[in-house]
Amino acid sequence: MTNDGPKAWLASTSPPPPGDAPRFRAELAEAAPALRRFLFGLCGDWHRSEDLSQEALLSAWRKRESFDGRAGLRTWVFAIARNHWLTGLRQQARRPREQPVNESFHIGPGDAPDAAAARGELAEAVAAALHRLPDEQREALSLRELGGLTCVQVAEVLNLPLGTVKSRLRYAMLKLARELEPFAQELEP
Amino acid sequence: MNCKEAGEMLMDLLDGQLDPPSRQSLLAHLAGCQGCAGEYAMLRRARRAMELLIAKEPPITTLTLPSEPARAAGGAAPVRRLWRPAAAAACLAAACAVAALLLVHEWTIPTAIGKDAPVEIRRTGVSLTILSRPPEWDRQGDMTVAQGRWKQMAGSGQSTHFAAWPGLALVRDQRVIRNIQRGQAEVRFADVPAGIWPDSVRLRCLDDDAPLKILEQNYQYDLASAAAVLAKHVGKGLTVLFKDGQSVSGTLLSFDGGTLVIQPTGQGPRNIARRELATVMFAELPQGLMSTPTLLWQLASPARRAQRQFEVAYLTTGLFWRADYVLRLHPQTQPGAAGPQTQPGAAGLQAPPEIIDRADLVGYATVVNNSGVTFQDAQLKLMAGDVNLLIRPYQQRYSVGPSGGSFPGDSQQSQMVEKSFFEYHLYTLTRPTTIADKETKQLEMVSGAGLAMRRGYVYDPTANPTAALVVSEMENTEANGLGKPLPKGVVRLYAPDPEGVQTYVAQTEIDHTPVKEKLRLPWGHAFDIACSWREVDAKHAGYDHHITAEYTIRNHKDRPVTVTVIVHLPAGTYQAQCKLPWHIREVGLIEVPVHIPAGAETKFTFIYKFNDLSGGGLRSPYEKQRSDKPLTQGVEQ
Repeated sequence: MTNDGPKAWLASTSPPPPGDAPRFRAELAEAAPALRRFLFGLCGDWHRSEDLSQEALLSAWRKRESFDGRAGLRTWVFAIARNHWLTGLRQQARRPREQPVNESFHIGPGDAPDAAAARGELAEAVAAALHRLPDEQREALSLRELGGLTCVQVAEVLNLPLGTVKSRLRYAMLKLARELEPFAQELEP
Repeated sequence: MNCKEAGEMLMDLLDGQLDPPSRQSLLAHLAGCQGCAGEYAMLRRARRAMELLIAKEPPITTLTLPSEPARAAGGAAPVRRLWRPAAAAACLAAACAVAALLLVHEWTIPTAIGKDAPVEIRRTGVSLTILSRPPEWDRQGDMTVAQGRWKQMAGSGQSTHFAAWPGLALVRDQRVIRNIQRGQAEVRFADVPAGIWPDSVRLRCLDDDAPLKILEQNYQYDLASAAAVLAKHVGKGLTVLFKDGQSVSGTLLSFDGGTLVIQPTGQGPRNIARRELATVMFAELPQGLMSTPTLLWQLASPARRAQRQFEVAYLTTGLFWRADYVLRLHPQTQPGAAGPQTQPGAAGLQAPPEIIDRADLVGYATVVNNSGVTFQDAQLKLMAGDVNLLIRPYQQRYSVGPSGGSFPGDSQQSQMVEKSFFEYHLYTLTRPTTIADKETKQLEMVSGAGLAMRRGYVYDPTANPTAALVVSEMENTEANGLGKPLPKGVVRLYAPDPEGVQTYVAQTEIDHTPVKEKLRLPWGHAFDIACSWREVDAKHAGYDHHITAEYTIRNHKDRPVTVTVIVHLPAGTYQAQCKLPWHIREVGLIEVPVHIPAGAETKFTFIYKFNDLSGGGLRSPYEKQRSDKPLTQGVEQ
């Protein structure tokens, strides 16, 4: 993991008291890169994920009075972002499905990793494989691996028991690894 | 431990969250169970894959957080509105006025905003051709602002030419536009330099089928700076917060850059100095301000395309380059190392052996970017030669600040490829480079080692009446280890001191020097050679003048030297006499090589006769120095 690894910010989870706007803003700013990664995991497009993060951050900022500090700020913001995403999906269901477009590589939900592999880009293949996971697995995996949340926080965001989250994560990672079997060599740490 | 238990603990093992005893027993199980070990390997690969995805993450481009007043201004507005230009500008303006809060890693790739659909613009490539400084600007050089100011104070202060060369570059910016709908569309290009010449912008659609038509092109540069926002706010309501925490709300009556005149509701106007204020809060953002310089196009698209390729080419100021040379002298060679060359000198004197220095030359291209925009992975080309330019006053509006920055060391090897282009030379960098805003970058351009330089002494009384210049001459030929076109630039000379430490000696400037030409590098004045001249006789008869000048050169060195004395002849000279051999270097310019033994003095006279038929318009260049001596007898003043 990068700097946003779970341990790095576990220490700083004491939430800002309501009314401490500068600190609130600073924490939002700190959470933004991880938030964007999580949303990339959901939508498969970096630019879209940036837009979605912007919406989520704005929304969190406006609702900051209602943040009670029981959950961590990150958990709260991630939950807001997820709700935005789900709302968007529901609205989209009534419209023709939008093709996610990635800025450096095009990945659709139906894009097979092999096709991506033919284009010779491993990161593309990973993104494509991620997109072929079932939604609930992808969501958990994105929160954990891209968003850098701990399993406990993932359980909080998804409002699920910890055991369920852990098994989802495990199945998601195993499925991802199977999808990326052709790249096993390159992915050996 | 069975496989089911192990399987449940694998994730914790991966996260390093197992206590030592559990970890030990799990590892023992993995050592013996292929199935679980395989599963653990898969988990590790999946983790690695996700890390890879993060590693390939593009930089954040547009993410911003709203500051305090944005809540009041846009609280009820739909979230999407943020992407509208006005609201985006509102965010930025408020950030300017209150406290900049940008959650931005790099402002590298801008997001352009279409009217309704999310039109996206991405920069796919950029190439820069930076022109060299034209000769009109040479006198100023690349002065810093402080230097310019100093010069202005020292001089009359009336010259308008003290501005530094603002730089000029041709930028070819390739971009991809996504989601252009059929019909008319408005496209905004942000991320253009403030110094762009709007009339030079050309947009070219690179798609072959159904190319776009450009209906209209605008350049918007009224930036939403704090002052611009205030100036546009005259007559509107605002709230100011003083540093002591008090606040005043009212109508802004005027703003002159330093003082705000505010009329609080139901009271008389108040003058408030800007420095007393902590914050200015606006009720709304005035229209027509952009957060960055922006190009705006009205396009007509005959068909919808997922993406379209464009090339935008424009000229911009703020980017300049110059050549800097470093000349490193080899440790002192004995005079005469090149072998004595005997030439019959004056008064039976043998010409002293020539002094040949050996030196290494490295030429750097110093690229300075003050354009306000970072050019990521740009194809860089530097053009050498004097390009004719029409500098229009309004194009000098954007001043260029002092340059500062880093100088990369030896990590960049010679990567510039030189090619002739039209009447100039083009130096192309073979790899893309990123030129960040406010950055000075140095790239090696030419180099040559072991160059032979002939060191000589030149006494030119018009330049300095008492000392001789040290001049090195070098052939720009391949035989001499160089043979490359050298763009105009500053040469800095370093020589090893007696301890062998390279020490800065002097600097001088060279002009564009083609191959096979001679480089003449004047360094400074020779300490141990004293020179003087005087007019010993002047006869004036009508328009006819006979002048006898005496030159005295004393050599206090412990070895013989040759000093080349420059004699400037006035126009209309018809006869020149000298006992020493002399030759004409240019029209009206005579060179007299004088050989002087060690510790000796040499004197010679030079007689020239000239007609002053033009009526005094053309005079001897020594005129100024002999002005105390009345020139009478028939010379028209």
